[in-house]
Amino acid sequence: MNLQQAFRDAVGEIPPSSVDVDQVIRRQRRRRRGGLAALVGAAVLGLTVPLAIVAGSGADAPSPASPNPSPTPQGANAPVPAPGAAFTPTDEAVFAAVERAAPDVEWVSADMPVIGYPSSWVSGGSGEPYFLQGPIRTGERYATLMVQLERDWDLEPCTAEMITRSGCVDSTGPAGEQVQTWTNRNPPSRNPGPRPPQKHVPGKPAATPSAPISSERFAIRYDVVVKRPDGGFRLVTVNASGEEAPITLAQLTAVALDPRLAGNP
Amino acid sequence: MNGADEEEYRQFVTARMETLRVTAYLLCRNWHTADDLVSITIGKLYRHWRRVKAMENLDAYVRGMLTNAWLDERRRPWRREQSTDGVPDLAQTSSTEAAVGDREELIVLLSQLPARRRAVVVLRFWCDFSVEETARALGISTGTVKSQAARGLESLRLLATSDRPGEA
Repeated sequence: MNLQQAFRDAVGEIPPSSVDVDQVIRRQRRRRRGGLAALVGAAVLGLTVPLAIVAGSGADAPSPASPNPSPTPQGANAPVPAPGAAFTPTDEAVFAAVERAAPDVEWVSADMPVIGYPSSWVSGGSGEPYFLQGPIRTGERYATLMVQLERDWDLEPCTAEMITRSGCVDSTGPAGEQVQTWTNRNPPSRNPGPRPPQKHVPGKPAATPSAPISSERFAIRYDVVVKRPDGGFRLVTVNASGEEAPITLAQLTAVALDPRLAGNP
Repeated sequence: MNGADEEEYRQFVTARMETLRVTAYLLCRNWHTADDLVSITIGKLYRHWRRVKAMENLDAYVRGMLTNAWLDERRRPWRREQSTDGVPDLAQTSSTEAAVGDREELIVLLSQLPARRRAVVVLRFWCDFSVEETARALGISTGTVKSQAARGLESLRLLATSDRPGEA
């Protein structure tokens, strides 16, 4: 008898397993969402540049300058792509959804030092997962809008803590979508916190140093999470300085619920 | 992770569940802890599935993850167990262990080996890893694997042949 067989015999009868694969998967999905929430928080702290670099270097991240042509005519408020680049159909679907839900909102193609930190563009992907980040404004109210399209994520109902701390609200959309909204308002004095070292990706220019934090008194963040009956998962977030965001929570919810906001490849 | 990837992951994990649980049990000698270790390992695997699923020897990679998860868990205060660098003169036979039959004696002996040596023995002789695979999984040199495996086997032999208290 070899040692392998001896070990197997020594183990004897194997008791029923308490390992729950489904639970493990659910836990990992929640952990992933928590990581995403941390990234959103990082954006509030004015870390959008390193975030953009990290997102742009990930295996699943869309290329910032996709060569895909843009067949959809752009709306009046849609951004203009950088020279030599083009937005993808999914980008265009996001621009159109924002225009339908919030006609006053404009996309800002350049960095926005005016709100206290530069806000970089990350876009160009298509299909799922998809991620777009870009600066928007309505009049003098500026913010960073982020849109993430995923598939097969779980959406747990709001807990008591989430309701108390983040204004979490569960609801149901018109087509049976599971909708969850979060509202966070923070004095900026608590927001900046310690800044992690700036990351530098070889071959890319170093991140632009952040401009001084603005003297505005508040920052606001809305998150809208939608899980469609077909398994599509949408996370739309806005981070703004000041007491008012350039887009309301209701408008943001309409973006997330827009049936034409499809990321299917 | 899309639906197809997740289904592939689920099939992989389900097919290897028993082997992973037995490996974990040989390391920790406790089925509850073994199941915890397997849960930790397959959780990590889920996070990295899209990157690692095409690996040539994914089974070896996963069992290496499991072994390292056990070594990591042992460092936590509430999981810390006593281990010794040398082989005790006599097999430590508690009142509970006295009831353990011959069939389980190998498990008792294995649990008395120092952690790293136990990991080497389990990977080499239960998982049938090569010296190189064991070294890669544990992040140690091949020379260390060879010496630890030899000492582990020798320790098992010594422990198995030790006179037991109460034996004639």
